[in-house]
Amino acid sequence: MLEATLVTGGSNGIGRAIVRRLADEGHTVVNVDIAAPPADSPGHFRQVDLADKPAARAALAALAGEFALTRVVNNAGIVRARPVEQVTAEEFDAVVALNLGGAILATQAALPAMRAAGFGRIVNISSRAVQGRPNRTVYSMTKGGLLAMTRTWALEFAADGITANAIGPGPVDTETFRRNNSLTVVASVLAAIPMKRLAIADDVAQAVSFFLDARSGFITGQMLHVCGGQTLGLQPAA
Amino acid sequence: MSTDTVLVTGASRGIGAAIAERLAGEYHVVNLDIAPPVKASAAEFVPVDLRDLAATRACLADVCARHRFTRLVNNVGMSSAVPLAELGDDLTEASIALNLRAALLCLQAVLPAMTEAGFGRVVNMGSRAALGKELRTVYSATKGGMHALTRTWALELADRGIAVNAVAPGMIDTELFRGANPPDSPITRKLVGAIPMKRLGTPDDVAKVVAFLLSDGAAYMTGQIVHICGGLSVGAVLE
Repeated sequence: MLEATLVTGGSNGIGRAIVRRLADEGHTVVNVDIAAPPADSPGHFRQVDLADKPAARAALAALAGEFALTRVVNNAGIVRARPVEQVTAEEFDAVVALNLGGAILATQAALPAMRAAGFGRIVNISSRAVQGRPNRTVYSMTKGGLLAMTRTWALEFAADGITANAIGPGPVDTETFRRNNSLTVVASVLAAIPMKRLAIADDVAQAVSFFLDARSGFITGQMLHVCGGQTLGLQPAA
Repeated sequence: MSTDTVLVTGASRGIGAAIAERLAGEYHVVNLDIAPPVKASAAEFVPVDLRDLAATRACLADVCARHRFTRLVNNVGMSSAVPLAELGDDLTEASIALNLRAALLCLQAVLPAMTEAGFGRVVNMGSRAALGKELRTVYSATKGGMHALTRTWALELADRGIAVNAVAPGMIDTELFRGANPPDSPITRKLVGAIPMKRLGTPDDVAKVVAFLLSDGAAYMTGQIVHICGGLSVGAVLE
């Protein structure tokens, strides 16, 4: 069976840059996303709503029958910027279903191929927001959850040759970021970044590529911040 | 108007019961739990299944109409030991509803009173498992989520005089812990052996720290995760 790298949410933003970067490096990439990718996007695409658990399980099982998914990049996620008073339970459930549930389902689908190969790479796209960000109750919570799952999976699969690592991007210049942040907010965000620029999606893809590399096999359970120095001097995210 | 009423979730047993007992002398305690207290308690018990959204909303509307809470302990939680490969959607959803969503609903319910008072103390039950624990995909995710919530709420509510902190217990000798970690299992034995203090914690070890974080005196601490673990997390990667 053809060995492939599963990328969730690879049609836009950070995910799109990850898909391109990995394809350029010779990966067979399978992108699962609710939205279609650009016409010139490399690799394979399956339209899947990862927040719809029964449908997602079925689609991922079919993919696992078609490809040996020895690498997974759990990138799919949504942000809803909201003061804590205004978060609804319905929105909470929907964001959790995608940001946490999607990662669980995708990793479960790939696990048999990884175990069969005695090799696997799991990369979870977490966020600097695990250290706290106002008006991001559910988003920061799901990203903190993803970081904790990364460490749990690193321990649980350490003996199987499977590594699990996380990336903590600071603000990345994507459509989502621009939608959720006014120009005033962007200015204050920039002021807090020592490098005085937003990340671009390729900055994150670089870190993904590193963790997916077969030679990165002794690195597991780690969070790599890709933040232009923004996390420096802050309390570590215990 | 009194400011001495504390809302504690899951205070009928385990760590929550120890918290209710320790707070009883100083505050009126309202305990939201699915089952009545296992031991006689001075706390006002209100039965509710905090996984159930409609029931939780109704219950919170009721208790917040009767009490003005300026202190909240989001303690309730469930934990199961399951390999990732066997983790089902029902367990995931129930764990997230109880361990995280209930905390959000409780905070939202007490926030108007805290905002009006210009004062609040929130303590969230985190866990050392946020640093990673085998067979705890969902439990660790909920606790890592709780730590992040703690920091986000601390930042968001800081200018209202509301302090939000978390405690992160290591291995505490409770029914929940024993259910998920059978005392004779090799993993449990290995873990207890790894505790620098070579003992499990008691529920009251946690309750004492919660009582401090709830106190008026804990005024300039916010967004912190206090590990109560007999030294187990020392040397662990906290990033």
